[in-house]
Amino acid sequence: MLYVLYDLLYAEESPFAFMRLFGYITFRAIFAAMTAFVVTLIVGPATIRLLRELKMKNTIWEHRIASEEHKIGIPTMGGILICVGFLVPVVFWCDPGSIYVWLAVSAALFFGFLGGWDDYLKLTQGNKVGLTEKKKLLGQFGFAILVAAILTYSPLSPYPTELVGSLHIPFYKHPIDFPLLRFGIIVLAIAGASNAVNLADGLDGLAIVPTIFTTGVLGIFCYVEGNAVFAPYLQLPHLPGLGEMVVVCASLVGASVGFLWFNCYPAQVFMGDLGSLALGGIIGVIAACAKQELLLVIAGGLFVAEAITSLMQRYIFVNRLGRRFFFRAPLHHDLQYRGWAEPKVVVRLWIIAAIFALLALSTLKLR
Amino acid sequence: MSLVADLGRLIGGAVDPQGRRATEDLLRRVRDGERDLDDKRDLIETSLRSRDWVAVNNAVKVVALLKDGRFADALARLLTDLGQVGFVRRNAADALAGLDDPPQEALDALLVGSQEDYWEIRTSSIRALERFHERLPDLEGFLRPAIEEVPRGWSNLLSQFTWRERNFEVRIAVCSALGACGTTEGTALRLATCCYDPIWKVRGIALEALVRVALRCGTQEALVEEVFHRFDQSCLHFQPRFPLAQNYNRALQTWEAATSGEAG
Repeated sequence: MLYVLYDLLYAEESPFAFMRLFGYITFRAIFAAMTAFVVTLIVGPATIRLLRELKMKNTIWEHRIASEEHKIGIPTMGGILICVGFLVPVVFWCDPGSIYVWLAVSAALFFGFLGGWDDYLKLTQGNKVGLTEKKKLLGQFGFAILVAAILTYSPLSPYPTELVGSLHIPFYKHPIDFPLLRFGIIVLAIAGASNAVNLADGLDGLAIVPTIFTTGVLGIFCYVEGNAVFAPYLQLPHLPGLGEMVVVCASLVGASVGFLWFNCYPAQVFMGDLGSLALGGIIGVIAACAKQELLLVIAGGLFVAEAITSLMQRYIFVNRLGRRFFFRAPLHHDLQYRGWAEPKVVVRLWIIAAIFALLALSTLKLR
Repeated sequence: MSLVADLGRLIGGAVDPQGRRATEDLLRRVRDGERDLDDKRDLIETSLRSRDWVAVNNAVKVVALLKDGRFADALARLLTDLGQVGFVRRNAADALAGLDDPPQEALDALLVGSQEDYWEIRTSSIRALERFHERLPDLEGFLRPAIEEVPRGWSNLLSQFTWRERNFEVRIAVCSALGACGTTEGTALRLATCCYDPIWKVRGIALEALVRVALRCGTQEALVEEVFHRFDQSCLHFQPRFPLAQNYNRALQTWEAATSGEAG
């Protein structure tokens, strides 16, 4: 909105000359983050009250771990806070003409809706499973295929022609031109990120802080790749217009920090599938837009570890071999089962997530 | 559980959809409280011999809920069957633990299960043995070697990064069982070592077990007092509802009640 005003009104030596500030990505990014944080803080208490009144409360004591008893009755579906906190600054500070922005917004809305529906079924109809796994995966992969098609094969693709099908590999200088492979990797990145964040969302504040780190890393990459000077210098693809994603990333970081305000131990609200699927989906789309789908494996290393432990335990050990490899899965429940206190598990996993984020940042120069 | 068997199951084990459905239905009925299932005895017996481990597992769970001693032999056979999957053998041990008066063959099977590699089978077998310790006079000597090795020093640090602490569930079960049946100074000394285990869950159970054993053998007062002193330094600042603090308080109450009674 403010960007549109700038576009309409700004002219040098006019009374609106000060509006040139709204043209700077860094300025808009900082203010988008602050707007997101403030909006989340303002909306937070009322939302938590409303969720409590609507009886959207956590009822399942899943893992029979004594320290989880206190979680029963805490409102869930708090991901709506994240979505609102993310979308408001995007509307205010982003360029509505950017297809990147529309992709991120549609990811937030679609995955938010999908997760919200799942939560709703679980909480209101006494249905412990919620949406069936098939329906959820169908939705996630359907959306991911649509985004991948837009980015690789459609005339709407925002990339310069020579970069449309190129796949960029971390620590490796030369991109591979293989559109079909990139298409597949985009689909896996978006659907996988959405599920991985969902799996990591099991303890107070555990999913949200690594999301902040990962989004921060992707934001830095978006800034560099959108910049005509930095991108060639760091041997990254120059993608004109991608700078707008920095504002999107900043909005997500601001909304996540605002949500952390209420979600830190002991949590007042849980994000639920509404929040976790939306966060993962947005991260996946940002990574796909920035052509850093493979970097997401490093930047979101913690999410990958959570997903791998969970998938290994379920599909190889429990379902096939009839025994456990980890005491519990995913990883954070295993650590908690060993007797680590919840804040200890959470903070140590944050540290690991920060290390992964730094490793991902190092690929800016190491290639 | 051999590597070959595991690989076979990974590629695709025997699947009996009909057997699975039938046993799932039976399990649901038993979980809903139905107990008069004599007409289903054949189905349970057939399922316990099925090649599909999921059907066998469901049948074992049904037997565990029914607490039907007529299946004790079948459960013992499953527990000692090295080709059977871990969950089935673990559940067989749990089912045997639920029986009121299992035959000697079942106890022998539990002794075999307590030496198993897979920690869940070992833990369940030891818990079951604890329940029947009065029928097993040599249980103390049999179990004590299981807690001989406790990670300390560098290996303690490394256990945070390796899977060595995997056996902590077994150590908890052994400490608890030794607390139920232990009478010797050697056991008390081993349990005192476990009171400094890297896993606090083991420490709590070991302390309670130590107090029980020390009271039985009556010569380890100094040892127990020292362990309590060490716990005082690390445990009292915890919230009272923290499980380790609860273990500590229970052990202290038992100890003080017994020793003050002696003094009086």
